[in-house]
Amino acid sequence: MDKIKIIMISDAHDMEGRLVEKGLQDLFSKDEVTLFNCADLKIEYCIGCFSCRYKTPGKCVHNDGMVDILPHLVASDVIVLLTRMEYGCYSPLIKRILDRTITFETPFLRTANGETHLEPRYPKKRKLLTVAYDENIDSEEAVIFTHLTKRNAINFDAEWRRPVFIREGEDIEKKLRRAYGDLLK
Amino acid sequence: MKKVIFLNGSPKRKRAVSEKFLKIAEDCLEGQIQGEKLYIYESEFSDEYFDRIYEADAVVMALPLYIDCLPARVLEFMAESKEYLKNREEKRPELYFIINCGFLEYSQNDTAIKIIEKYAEKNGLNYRGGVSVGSGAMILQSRKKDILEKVLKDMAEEAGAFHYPENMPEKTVRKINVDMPRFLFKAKADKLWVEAGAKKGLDKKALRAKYY
Ligand SMILES: Cc1cc2nc3c(=O)[nH]c(=O)nc-3n(C[C@H](O)[C@H](O)[C@H](O)COP(=O)(O)O)c2cc1C
Repeated sequence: MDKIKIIMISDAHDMEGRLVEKGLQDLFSKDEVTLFNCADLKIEYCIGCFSCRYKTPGKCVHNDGMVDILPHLVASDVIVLLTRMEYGCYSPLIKRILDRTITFETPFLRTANGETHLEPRYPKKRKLLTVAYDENIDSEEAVIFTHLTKRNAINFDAEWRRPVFIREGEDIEKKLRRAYGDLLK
Repeated sequence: MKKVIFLNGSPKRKRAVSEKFLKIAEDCLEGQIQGEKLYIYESEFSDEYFDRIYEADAVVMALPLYIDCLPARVLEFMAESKEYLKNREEKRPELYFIINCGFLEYSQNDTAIKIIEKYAEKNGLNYRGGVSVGSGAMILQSRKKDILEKVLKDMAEEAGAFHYPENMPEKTVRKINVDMPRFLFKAKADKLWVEAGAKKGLDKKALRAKYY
């Protein structure tokens, strides 16, 4: 069987984040993982110019770290996002990368879940797993993030997996192992 | 006079749809408030910058929906202002939003609105609701233009007033999008991109090309 191709995008920079990042690397030790950590990347903001839609389809005006990330995103079976929780949302660093993934879609609309969305430019059966950590994540933030990632999965044209929430002091390994089982389904 | 800050949270800045919506709100309060406009995508997040914003009585933030939530730099604004607000004792302004998304349905903004509300709650801002717009790029050219202008003005008046009538509902979110079946919205939007591509010598197939 081919190894599962995993792209992992992580904003881990402190102890807490690095522990979860390490936990994920151990978890995926038998898979083919490519890890991108925001600390090593220079990513410009999306400027909303839509050049990637109608001037140079699929290509952004910025020539930066995204050029390395996108081929792995395209080839991936599983997209893993590791992010600090901020108000039920991603951290700003992870979001910079996500904003730049609109090249992942064509300009054309489709209907999904009874709403308008865009066609994927690189259709493939992928899965989206998100892991959010913070000292404390309240139940409302968890609900917001769950909804958000469900919506992101639609726009990534990926199968959604329930996010993992890791608060300070929680058993990282146990939580991640459960998520891995879920991922294989 | 009430001091109101208008924050533009779109990277398109003056060319953004958010700017047009913000302008409608601003114009309606002309002469009645002391207003100032700031652009999140061109600002340094210094203490002086945050002083200007958080010394106001009300902040109206206009922004686009990006990947089902807030644009990266708006999140950065929130993260940085959290640090700033930790050290600030004084009163907290009211917070209003105007969010718009490209897709037809205003309901696509709901999660982002929750994030704004959470930001306000965690930083002690007085969250007052706002306006949620679907089909943001099309709505000012549609029959819904007048209603949109009216709800933007209603919200602006609330932001510009020191006292609310007693029966005024708190935290109102006014929701609006063009009045159009989905298939027609798709036909219209797709046509715009086909035309934009054609001007660059690109046909439909080229617009769908895989770059990687
Ligand atoms: C990076 C990026 C991500 C976007 N994500 C979404 C989205 O998730 N849902 C949506 O309906 N529109 C999305 N849009 C479309 C914008 O919300 C839409 O173009 C909006 O009208 C822009 O407003 P502005 O001119 O004020 O920036 C996205 C646009 C960009 C550039």
